[in-house]
Amino acid sequence: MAGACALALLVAAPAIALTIAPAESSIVPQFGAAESLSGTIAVAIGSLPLAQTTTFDVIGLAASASGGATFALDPENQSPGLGVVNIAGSFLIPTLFLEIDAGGGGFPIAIANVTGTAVFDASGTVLQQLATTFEVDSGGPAGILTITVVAVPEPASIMLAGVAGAILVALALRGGTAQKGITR
Amino acid sequence: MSRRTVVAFVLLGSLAAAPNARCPGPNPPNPTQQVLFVPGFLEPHTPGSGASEEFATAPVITTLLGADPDLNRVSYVRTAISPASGNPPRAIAIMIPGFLGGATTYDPLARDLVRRFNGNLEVWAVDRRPNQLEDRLGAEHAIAGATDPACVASPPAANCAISEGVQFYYPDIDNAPIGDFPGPNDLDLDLDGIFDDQLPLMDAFGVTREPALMAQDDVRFMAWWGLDTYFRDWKLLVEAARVIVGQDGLVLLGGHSQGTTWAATFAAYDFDPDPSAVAAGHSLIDGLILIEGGGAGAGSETKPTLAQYQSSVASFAAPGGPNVFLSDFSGIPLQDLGTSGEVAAIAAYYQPTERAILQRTPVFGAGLLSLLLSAPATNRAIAGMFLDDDFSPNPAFRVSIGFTDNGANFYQGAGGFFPTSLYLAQPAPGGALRQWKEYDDPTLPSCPPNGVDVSPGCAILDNGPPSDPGQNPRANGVEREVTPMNNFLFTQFGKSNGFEWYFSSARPGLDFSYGRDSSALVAEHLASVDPGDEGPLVITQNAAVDVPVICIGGSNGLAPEPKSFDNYLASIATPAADEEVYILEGYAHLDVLTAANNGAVPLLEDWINRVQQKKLLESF
Repeated sequence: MAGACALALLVAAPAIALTIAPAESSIVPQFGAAESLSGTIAVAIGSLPLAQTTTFDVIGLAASASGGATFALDPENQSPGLGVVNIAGSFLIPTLFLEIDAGGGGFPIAIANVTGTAVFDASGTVLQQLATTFEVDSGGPAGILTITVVAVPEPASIMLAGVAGAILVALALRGGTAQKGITR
Repeated sequence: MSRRTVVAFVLLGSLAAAPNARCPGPNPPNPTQQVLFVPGFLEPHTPGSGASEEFATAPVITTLLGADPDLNRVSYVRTAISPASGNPPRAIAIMIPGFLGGATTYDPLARDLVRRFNGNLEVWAVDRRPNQLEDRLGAEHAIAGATDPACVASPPAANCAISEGVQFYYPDIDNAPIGDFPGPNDLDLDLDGIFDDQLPLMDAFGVTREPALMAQDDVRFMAWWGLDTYFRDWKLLVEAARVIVGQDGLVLLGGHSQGTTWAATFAAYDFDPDPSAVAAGHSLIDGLILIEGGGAGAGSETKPTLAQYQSSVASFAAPGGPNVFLSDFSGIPLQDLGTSGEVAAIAAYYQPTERAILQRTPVFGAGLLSLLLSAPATNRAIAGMFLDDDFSPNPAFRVSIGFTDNGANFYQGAGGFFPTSLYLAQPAPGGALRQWKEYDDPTLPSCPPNGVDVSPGCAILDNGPPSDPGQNPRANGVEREVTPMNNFLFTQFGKSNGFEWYFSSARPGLDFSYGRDSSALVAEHLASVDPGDEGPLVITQNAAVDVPVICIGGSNGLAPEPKSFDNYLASIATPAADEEVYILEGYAHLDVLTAANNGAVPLLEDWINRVQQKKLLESF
């Protein structure tokens, strides 16, 4: 039973809410002034701790640039942020479908090959930081935009993730005991 | 896990309305299209092969393609966006047209998908080999001058390039008018009141000439243009695509209508003639896309023996033998439909309200089509009256593009020549031309309140519930008008064209009689000819096909219910969880390729995302 519960926790891929760190996150246009980024990101990771390459899905995004532009997942795409993360914490979203609103109404844009890193705590179950840098062709006078995002767990998520991690550790320990019992 | 099966009208209700509410972006990505010719499979009987079996090149082919043409080529329309990064796309979808279809039938769908993926997906829409034999000089002349003053004038001047393009293919004829059509004079293409002969045009070689049109004996080498040759052509494209996307990327193969049969049979093909080795088509691709067609079937009940097969091929190759390309369909000469269709689409786009030039060609101005389409019409209306789902006599050539109601519509019930019911447009009152109402015209008539069999009838009809279990699939649900006329017209002209003039019917027809399994033919060849060679047709791997499959039908089309795909899906090894079936309610057969806010686009987009993720789980 304990093993089943642990398995359920491993495959449930709960949402992990992250806050974009404005001091470290930015949009740097090819031509023009840089802007900072703030907001939230939610990701779902297939199973933790990472034992093999698993799913890494961006399932929520509400970001704003200091200049006023907003960024969200494309609401017309059923799977706008599907990706994978490997055991080293490197992630890849082959195509990230965003909706950007620079003040004149939202428009869709797909971004190819969004890569970055996910950093976990020692238990491997608590996401501590997400970092990515990618480029977007603005199609306008700003030229190529270099977008850097660094995100850390929201305080509530840290608590939840901590609790979840503790449960996992406890269940793993109990599972280990039961396993020993069976063996014995 | 069970198969994902969705009748997608609820989903589409929310998705379809949304796109127009959004901005296109500051500088929306604009897909580019190129027609690319690359070396194809080296089929030895084909002109240009250099092999001892090579057939002599007929003079008409030399006229069209120049001296020493190489017909072992494969061509495709590449729809792409070149990213600023210069990075290659992660996915390429190679799409096979349906029966009588050309590469540009995929035009709207390809543009939509490539735009949505911002270039991280390309679409390569394939033209089968016979397309290179089409003399498109008249159509190219028409397009080049379509916006010249002579064509913009109303009525167009006699030297309008569109009229000249049509006149390249046809002389004026002085047949006695049928009924009041087109009367009172002869079929005067350029309306200059003079009986004109065909108009020679100058081609790319600087030669002024008449059309170079193929006769059966000009192309007897087509006896070897069967599935093996086509599949080896497409294998080269698949391999080229793989080089671009890499092992982590996706190479998808798809088809529309009969194209699904071609694509599914490719997946089942063993390219290695050695009986101890297998190089299966499905191992080269990452997924199958089946649009409005049920994939590969079981074939004929009685399959030809090897001797019968070889005898048939020999007869196809012999001068005076059976036709190697399809000469007519339902009594309509296909070469004429090809020559007239492309220029008619150009006229419908550039001269929408002018008197239909198509009705002044011998194709539509005399014979069967003049009876079906006898009401004098505009260029746009004649396109609608020929192909709209409410007017077309054949469900395989139907698209929901609007309606005409400025005259009586005679309701013709199903039966006899007509497999399904349709409207026959009658002449408009007072000698007016029948006009066409666009797909989004708010005054399109519906039933109810109109009566189906009471003129003008209805553009939007409720076809009732799906079939009962055990019955064959049938059209069902409420029809929708979803395709802008211009979307459809763009499938008929431009970079390539949407119609296959010389559909190679003999050898592929023979090959398709084996359906998805030619094991008996292979066994016979191994036993009686060469124990080391599996022979001319090696469809032996269908049961091993295990790639993800997405099936999309239209409830008013030829794959109108999920069970339209059951037979094929039950025959392959793909797990049920990787088989997905969607039915777009109200879509006719061609709408799935041409609709505005096409419901197939988000379905394909989502599926491609998931197939890509699944592949990366194994390799990243």
